[in-house]
Amino acid sequence: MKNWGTSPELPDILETRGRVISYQEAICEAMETSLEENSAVRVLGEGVTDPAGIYGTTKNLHLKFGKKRVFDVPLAEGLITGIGTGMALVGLKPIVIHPRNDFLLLTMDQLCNQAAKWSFMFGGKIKVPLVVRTIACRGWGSAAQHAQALHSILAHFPGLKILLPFSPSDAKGFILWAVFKSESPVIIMEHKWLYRLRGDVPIGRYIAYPGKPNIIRKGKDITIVGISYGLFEALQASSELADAGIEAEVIDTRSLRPLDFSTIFQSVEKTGRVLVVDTGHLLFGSSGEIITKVIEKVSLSNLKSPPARIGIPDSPTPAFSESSFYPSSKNIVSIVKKMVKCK
Amino acid sequence: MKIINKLYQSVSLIRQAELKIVEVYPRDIIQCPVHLSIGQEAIAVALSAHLRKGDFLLGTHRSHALYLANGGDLKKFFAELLGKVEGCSGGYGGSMHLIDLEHGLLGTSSIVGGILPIGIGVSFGLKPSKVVALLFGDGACDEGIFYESLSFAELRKVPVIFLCENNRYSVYTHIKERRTTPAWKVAQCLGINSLFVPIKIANDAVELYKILQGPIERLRRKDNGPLFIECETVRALDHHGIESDIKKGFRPITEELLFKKYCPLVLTGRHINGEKAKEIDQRNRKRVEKAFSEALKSKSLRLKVEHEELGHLTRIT
Repeated sequence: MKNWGTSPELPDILETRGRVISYQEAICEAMETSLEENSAVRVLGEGVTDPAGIYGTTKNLHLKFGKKRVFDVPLAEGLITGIGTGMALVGLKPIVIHPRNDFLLLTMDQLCNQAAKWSFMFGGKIKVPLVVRTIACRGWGSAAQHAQALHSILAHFPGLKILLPFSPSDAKGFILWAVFKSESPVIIMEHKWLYRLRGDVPIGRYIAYPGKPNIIRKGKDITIVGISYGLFEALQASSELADAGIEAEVIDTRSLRPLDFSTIFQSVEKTGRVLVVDTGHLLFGSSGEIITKVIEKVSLSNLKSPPARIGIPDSPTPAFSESSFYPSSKNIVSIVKKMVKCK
Repeated sequence: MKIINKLYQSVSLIRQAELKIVEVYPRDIIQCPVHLSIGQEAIAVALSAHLRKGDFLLGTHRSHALYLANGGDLKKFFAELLGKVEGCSGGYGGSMHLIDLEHGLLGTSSIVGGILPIGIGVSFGLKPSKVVALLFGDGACDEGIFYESLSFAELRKVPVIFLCENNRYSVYTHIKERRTTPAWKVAQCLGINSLFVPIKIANDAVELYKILQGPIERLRRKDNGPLFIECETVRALDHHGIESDIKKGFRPITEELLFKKYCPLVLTGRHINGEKAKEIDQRNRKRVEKAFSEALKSKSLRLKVEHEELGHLTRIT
């Protein structure tokens, strides 16, 4: 990592059969298809028309589709989200982009008080088909205010759909699902470190439905539930664990709202062990929620070890020493080995 | 009907509807806070009289006047306050969350200032010569989003009417404790066509109607938006509820005197014959009684909560 905001080159960790492109290219395709196939789509956000174009995902879209449909905005997050909500109320299909998810904290009123509740407050008489894209980042001195993953905060609120694509196919298919299928506010939380991850991505208007987790790797000894970039470390760890004779089942949650927990329950019933790998803080977050659900539903006598979780430490992110700050596949391997020994 | 009669009719209907709320509120059948418009009715009335089909509007927690002035159904209004299925918001919103899509009211929100960017977003979906009207209080002008919204609205010249009802109080905190520069001046500094309307005009629906006519017509004709109007007015009763906070000593007696001097019903009524005004009031009282009793008899919204299933909510009736 030599440049702030650059995503690392990742090894090809996903099985591929069809056409292979990167996570970033998949997002580009979804943006272009959305604008091409739905005339109600509008794209707005800080920097959508600048030469960098939101890490390349909106680059030159304004030249092709015009500045009435793709436009830049002031540095005013509440305003930007609110404009999106207003557009959504009158039949447009806005894709609002907040390039760094840390800035979502400046628009919590518009997301959680207004957009999330608008339809409910009026007895469902009006819909808010708003799409928000945002990106979590880390690394190379990003430090405390540019390296957060805030999905757990947003997933607290009924009324919002919270999608966290890990695979390139979801990165594309979620945007197209939000644009063509959803009638309520959707927040798509991408991860900058996945932008160069490569995988199978269908051509054309490919729609990925959120809600059902995806078992990326089958195994019998432990269930590793990953969120966003956490899955990359989980998959790396699972290869290493396989060498040690431990077969991990790796599950991609894909979305937090909606989330059909039954896939996770069935897996844990089988393996008897569960580890959650999150990209956010652990206390009061998604990892705790997933483990609670497991404890509520899976018969405790089937659990061979106490559930465990790993995520970023309970501290703001330091600008340096990041390699030790973030949990790695090594940490996952070490935790899993201890859990599997536990009878 | 002559426009003057229409304006008086509207002010009178809102007043009669809210007096009905005042009458029944002690019975606790309206089980939600009510932020009454008494003292401020003329502003929503004059604004609504200039709106047409295809225009949109948004309001705040204090939007009884806006909903009714804009042609909202009286029975659905009372039904909403009473938590009935037939309420304009299906009984889910209560007094602070009113909607009337038939007449372009896209909703009202109680987190002040929140509607400002939403209204700008709505303007991107307007047909030619249509406008968005946003009615909000002076409290909303204290929020950061107020500045974000006005600045962008002028940048993009959006056809939005920002109409501020300045009653000087954010709950019980006087505007002098909250700001130095008046909101209309801030708007003017940002390059917006901005007006200040003193209470003697703002509380008279006929005079305010005349003042608004030119600027709103110009806004429709060409891309010279937005428009900012600050109307000085007075809140007759408490921030919410039916009592007088002035009698409790929360606001000075001068506020009560201001209402006595500039009551919108009286000021607007001066433009028509006294007998005619009485007749309109009487007719509105009857309409209100009928709508209220029908709403009261209608079916209540009942929700069932599964506390053992994450508090899952289902509608029973």
